[in-house]
Amino acid sequence: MVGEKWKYSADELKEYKKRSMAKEVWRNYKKSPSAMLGLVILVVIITLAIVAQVIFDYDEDIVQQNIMNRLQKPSAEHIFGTDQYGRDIFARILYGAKYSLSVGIVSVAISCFIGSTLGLIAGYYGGRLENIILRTCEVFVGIPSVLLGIAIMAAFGQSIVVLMLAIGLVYVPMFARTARAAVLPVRDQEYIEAAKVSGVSDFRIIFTHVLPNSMSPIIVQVTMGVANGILTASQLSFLGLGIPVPAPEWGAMLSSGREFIRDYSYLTFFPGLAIMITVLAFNLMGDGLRDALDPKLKQ
Amino acid sequence: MIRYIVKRAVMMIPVILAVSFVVYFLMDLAPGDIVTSLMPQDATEHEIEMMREEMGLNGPLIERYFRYMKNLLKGDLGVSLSMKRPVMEVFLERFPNTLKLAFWSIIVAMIISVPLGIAAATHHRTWVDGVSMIASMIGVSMPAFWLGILLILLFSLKLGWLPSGGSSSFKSIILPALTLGTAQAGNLTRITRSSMLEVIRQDYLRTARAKGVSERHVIYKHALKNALIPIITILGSTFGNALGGAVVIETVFSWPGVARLTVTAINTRDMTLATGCIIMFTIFLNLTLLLVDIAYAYVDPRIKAQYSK
Repeated sequence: MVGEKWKYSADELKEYKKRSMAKEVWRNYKKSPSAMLGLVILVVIITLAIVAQVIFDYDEDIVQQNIMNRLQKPSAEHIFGTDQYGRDIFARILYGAKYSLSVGIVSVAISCFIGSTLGLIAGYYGGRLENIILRTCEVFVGIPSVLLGIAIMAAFGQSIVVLMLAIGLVYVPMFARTARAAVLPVRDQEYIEAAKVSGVSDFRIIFTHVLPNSMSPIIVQVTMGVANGILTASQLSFLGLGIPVPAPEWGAMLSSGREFIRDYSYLTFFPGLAIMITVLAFNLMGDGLRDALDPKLKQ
Repeated sequence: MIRYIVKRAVMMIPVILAVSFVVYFLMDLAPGDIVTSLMPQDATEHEIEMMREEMGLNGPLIERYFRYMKNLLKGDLGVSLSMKRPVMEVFLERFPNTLKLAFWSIIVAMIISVPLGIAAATHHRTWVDGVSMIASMIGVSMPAFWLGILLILLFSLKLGWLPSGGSSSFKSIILPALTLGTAQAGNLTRITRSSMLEVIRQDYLRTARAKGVSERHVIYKHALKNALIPIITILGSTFGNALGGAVVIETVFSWPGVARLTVTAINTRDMTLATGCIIMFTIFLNLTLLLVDIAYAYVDPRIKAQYSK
């Protein structure tokens, strides 16, 4: 009788236990070709960005002007051509990857940290606190993000740190709302009740019980947020309010190539392509993660 | 329903107050003093102070802010420092251009995304679905200003069919609207697809098919009507996105709208103009979202029933 009741052998159970949440998600993630494509693109971009830091010298290869070489069309020597100052566009794009990546990732880290904390608090405590947090978010959602970004850049001056902070702050409400929405179904679960009765502090409940159970939407938001952050940063740079020249930031390169668009369109084409591919990689990954974290949604 | 509208409208007041404070405060922090730069080089300290008073820029921040808000409630946003004209006048003069751009871009977005989304849903998990999903993913990932520049290169510089900027003829709006519309289309396609997929599985569609209604009729009469509801809801936020996206697109196409005006105002440190424009822009955006919510309730009787409780 006992043998019949236990459908799984001890070994099988051990095997099952080993399959942690992360492994499960990875197993689902691998199934999607587009999600894997996103991951591969990102790994390639990061590798190239690191290699570029090693093989190129910032002063000599990236910003030094060489008028003799100006506006050379793409060739074997300069595969993306050279810009109006005779700098190799391929080298600048590879080197510039670090700006877009770091701005995208750091700014999302900022908005995720502040936004999710606020959202968790709002969702967990509810009531007045929730109201105040949500209303405050509404204020910031009401201002178009690029305009808010421009205003912050104008107020605090142009630098990479301000750019990260500006974009980070712009996307705080998005994370706060996502986190709050994710907490709501968890808040009234019995295990939260149980933790409360056994005297666990609110802080611990939020971070050890609530957060792990409402993580999925936040993780997806992070990947999509990096994509949005990179796009917003490139917009600000394009308007002349991003990272100061002569740093090879993609949006700024694109913008400065505009005057030469008629005859030297590659000056604008390649930086834009670089932005698009990077953003695409994060979007593909975000999509894949969403399906992997919640297979039910896929239907 | 009326109670709901009033409640929503009242809730907008603190939002607008807070937005105006944040914007005013940020603009005040910006380095560069417009008054000194407007005065002749040899102006005395006293003359500068007089000018500042005349422009209402003297006194501590809070005092200036309250003065500003008092005037704002009267519909007076002050005088643009660089144009020497009332901000409200300059704003209202340019605003219809931005609205026109946002409106046509949404039309473009709908023309692209609704058929594409329906095709993807009705051919779920076939190559049609795959291609339209890849296309919408690329659309979402593309920097809009880059697309705009490439369109200028093709249609105005190489082919010479359309003007590359300005607003001199009706043809001028085609490229900016196409650019901004394509940028919005990616998201709309995905939403149309998932909304359509959901509706297609409903019982009432099975009933319709069972009683012998043609597949075409089922999709376009029964399914589409219901699938459109979520699409209409997000049109409000799409409109907001379009207004935000206009900031860059107006710059690319030298379109004489308020978004470009705002960027120029910030760059030239014309703080009254910049603050006024951002505040007006925000008020308008919030009003639009409110109107969309109301329209939504009228489109879907189920929602209306919820409010009347």
